Amino acid sequence: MSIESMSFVNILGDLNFLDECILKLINFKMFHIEQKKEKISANFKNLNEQNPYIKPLNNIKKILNILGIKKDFNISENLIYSEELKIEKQEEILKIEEEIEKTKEKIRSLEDSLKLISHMKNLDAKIKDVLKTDYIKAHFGRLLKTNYLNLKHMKNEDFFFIPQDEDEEFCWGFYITHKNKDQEISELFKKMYFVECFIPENIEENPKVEIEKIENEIKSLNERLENLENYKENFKDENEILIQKTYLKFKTLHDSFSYRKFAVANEKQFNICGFIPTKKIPEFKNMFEDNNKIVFEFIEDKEEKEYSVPVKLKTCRLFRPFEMYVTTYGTPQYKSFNPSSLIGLIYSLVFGIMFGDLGQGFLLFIGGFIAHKKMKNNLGLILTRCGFCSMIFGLIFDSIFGFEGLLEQYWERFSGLKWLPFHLLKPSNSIPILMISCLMGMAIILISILVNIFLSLKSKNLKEALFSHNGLAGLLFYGGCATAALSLLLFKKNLFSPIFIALIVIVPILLIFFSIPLGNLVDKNSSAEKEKFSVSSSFFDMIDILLSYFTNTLSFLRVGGLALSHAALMLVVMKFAQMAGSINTLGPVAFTIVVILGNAFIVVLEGLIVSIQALRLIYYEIFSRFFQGNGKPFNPVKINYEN
Amino acid sequence: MSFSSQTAITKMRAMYGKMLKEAEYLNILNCNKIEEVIDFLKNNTHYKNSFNILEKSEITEDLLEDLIKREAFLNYKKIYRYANKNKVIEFFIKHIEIDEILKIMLIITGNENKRYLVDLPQYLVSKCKIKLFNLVNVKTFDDLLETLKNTKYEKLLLDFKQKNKEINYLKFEHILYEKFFKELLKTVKAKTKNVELFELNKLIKTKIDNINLCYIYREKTIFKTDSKKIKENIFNFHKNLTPNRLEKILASADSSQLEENFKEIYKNIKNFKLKKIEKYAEKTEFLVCQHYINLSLNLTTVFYCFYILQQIEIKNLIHIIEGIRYNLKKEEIKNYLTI
Repeated sequence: MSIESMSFVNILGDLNFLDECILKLINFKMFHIEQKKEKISANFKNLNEQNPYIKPLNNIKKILNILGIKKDFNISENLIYSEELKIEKQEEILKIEEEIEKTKEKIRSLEDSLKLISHMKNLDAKIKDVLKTDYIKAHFGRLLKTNYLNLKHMKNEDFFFIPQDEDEEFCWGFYITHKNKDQEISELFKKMYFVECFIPENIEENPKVEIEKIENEIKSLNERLENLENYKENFKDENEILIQKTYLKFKTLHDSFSYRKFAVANEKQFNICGFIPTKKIPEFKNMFEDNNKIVFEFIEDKEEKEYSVPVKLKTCRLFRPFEMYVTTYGTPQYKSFNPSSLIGLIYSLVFGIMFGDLGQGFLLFIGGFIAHKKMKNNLGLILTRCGFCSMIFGLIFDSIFGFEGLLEQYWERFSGLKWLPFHLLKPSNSIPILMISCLMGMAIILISILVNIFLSLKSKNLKEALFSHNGLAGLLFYGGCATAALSLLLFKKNLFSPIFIALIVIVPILLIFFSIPLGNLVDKNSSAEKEKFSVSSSFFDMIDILLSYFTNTLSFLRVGGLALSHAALMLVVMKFAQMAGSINTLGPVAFTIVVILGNAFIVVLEGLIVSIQALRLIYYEIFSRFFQGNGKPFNPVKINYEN
Repeated sequence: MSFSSQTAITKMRAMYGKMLKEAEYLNILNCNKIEEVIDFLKNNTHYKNSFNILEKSEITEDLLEDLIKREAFLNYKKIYRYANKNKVIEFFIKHIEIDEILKIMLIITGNENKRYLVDLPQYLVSKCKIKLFNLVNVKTFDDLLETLKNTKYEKLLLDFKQKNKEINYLKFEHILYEKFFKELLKTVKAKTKNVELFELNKLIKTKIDNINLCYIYREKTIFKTDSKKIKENIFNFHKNLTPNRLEKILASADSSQLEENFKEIYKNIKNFKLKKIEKYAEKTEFLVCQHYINLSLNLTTVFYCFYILQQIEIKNLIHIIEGIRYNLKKEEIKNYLTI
């Protein structure tokens, strides 16, 4: 449950070896690079260079795209020195693609012409004879149908409108007028929103002839297109691996070059810095052993003033997937506390109680495992942990896919555990499960307060450690009240004596109430601005704090509540299944179908609800008490092959 | 309430929900060119259905206004089939008929130099009692009389011709709307009751009050018309503009007195300024309609409000388009909007 100790590394070397150094750092996989500040004394300046690999990388990306090759990152070779696709070949395939695009464009334009001419299907004359005459002017186009109706009703006009085709919205046709009247009539048609369709110059013949001509041309272009596509396919088959290698090579060169901007350099030397995990120092030293042109110094486990230390979480393997939930909330500060394991444990436990079923838990376990294998997703691994806990609680609750009581005979062998199996639907178990939830909540809240005290003392924040509602005062008050309440409820023993009330209730309340002036008293940092105390503000804060202790504890009732609701939903499924099973002939089949569908529905619906509720408890009831997510995440230098 | 009424009300509320909000108007106001307005309406608003029938390059400035109106008509089509036997809602068609007749009157009287063309959707053309397409050949008042023969407008036109030697557009408009409102209020009284009657009376009479007040303001302050003449063109139905108040307003000696008398009607408006009366009138109607479209349970009320709110939206968009066309400042255009 800790955070990896980091060491600052300052690397100085011959400028000619900068690229080699960066590549080594990338291969090291554990180097968090920092932007080195310019040093005026040694004439070190930031390297502002144009990346020379942008163009070749873009070209090869284009080729990957053109050929539809999926990027394969499993080619394990020395990428920098690997063979690459020759420039001539690159140009060749780019030209082929250009020709394909041109052909497609030509086909599109021919299809447009075809569409246009198809609207003239009623014309039994050469198009040029209609459009290119000496005394009359003809225009072909379309207008809205309403306007066509207007035209139909117009009398004694100086034009003819000859409709050719129509659809739901438009009517296509020619309007023909005398050349002298053309301007006037065109104005009228413009007002009717006549959209003139411009017929290409080369289209002159009878529409039927033109349609045939264009169709033939499209056919031959499609044949050409097919040939080009075949050529492309062959090219892909022959060069796929080489293209992959070329992409990886240029991507590595491009990305590693882009890290040069983090370095400073003069004419001869470069200087680059960053952080590595302290335990990796020997490995790091070994890496540069054979290169005497590069020297480095370490500042072990010491916070650099110039750079904030990046945070790499160190969590045991079992709970590592839960780091995702922590980092989603924020990155903890360096040298603070990595709550991943604690969160993992609580999340799995809470999930297990709320979703206690051996069979469904097993399904989640398998589902999570497959999801992780297929998608390499942490959520899958979280699901396996949750599924496992569900299985354990399924055993305790004696529930397998909603069938209860199947394990009762096995539990009977454990004579010492008479309360097992713990059937949730037994009326006498309802109150205990809710009480257990509350007790668990109290324990989790107390643990969170303890963690906050520990972290505050570590960071020398005495005010927070001693007087805050999540500090010692809060611990005394909440812990005391919780103990007294439990003692009264469970053992009928009243601890609320005057001394107890004075010490455990009144004193902590006063400490929290006066936390600001008391905090200012113990705060040794005199330069910092002191917080101002206000009685009214503290009074309302106090009410909020007291209420929140109560509501936060009750919030954990949802754990028991959802466990009960899960059992109740399964009971409903079983009732439906029994009803379906009572059908004479199809009974067993119907019973099985209802059980399967019901379980699937519950797994999806309840699974989602329970995940969200468990996460809400973690974020709201635990993280809000101690977590400060303002740390800097550890981002080692790497090549991002996917983008 | 019948199932079809509930469906129509829900449909109207859903369409009302898609109408332009203040933030969208502000986005449109940020456009510097008409093309940008077209782009915005085409991609981000409920107008995309109407705009999608044409390519962006085919949408001209003139066509833009028509497409905006077309969208409104298509919206009415979606609900009209649920309400086509409703006697009050039928007045929507009568209103359209009057608008078309007035359009042609504008051309006949020379107030507009434009050829009359029917730009209504086919379903509306078929619902109208007059043959709208025959109006495309009308050039004179007699042509109009001939075209409207055997319709209820024929008598109105004949009376108008007998009483007036010269054709006055405003007088003609007044006569048409006087009859329209009279029949509408009569039908509302006959066909509705209780809350529905109250709501419709309130809405229609608010509109009439606003038309009257704006007319009085224009005539008294701009044209300095005689009170007696003004009174002739006032619609004799009222909500807040009672006969006593009307007399008082007409008797106002100057603008400040007129402003004081107007203030009594627009009590809720702080810092009342007489020159903004048209904006107040529209805003009052806008707010009443917004209130009833959300809360009323009556189909006719909701339909009326929907119709008025659509009209206001169209007006707002036309203000913006014209504002941008004439390079007006954003704030200046915003002042014309009812939002």
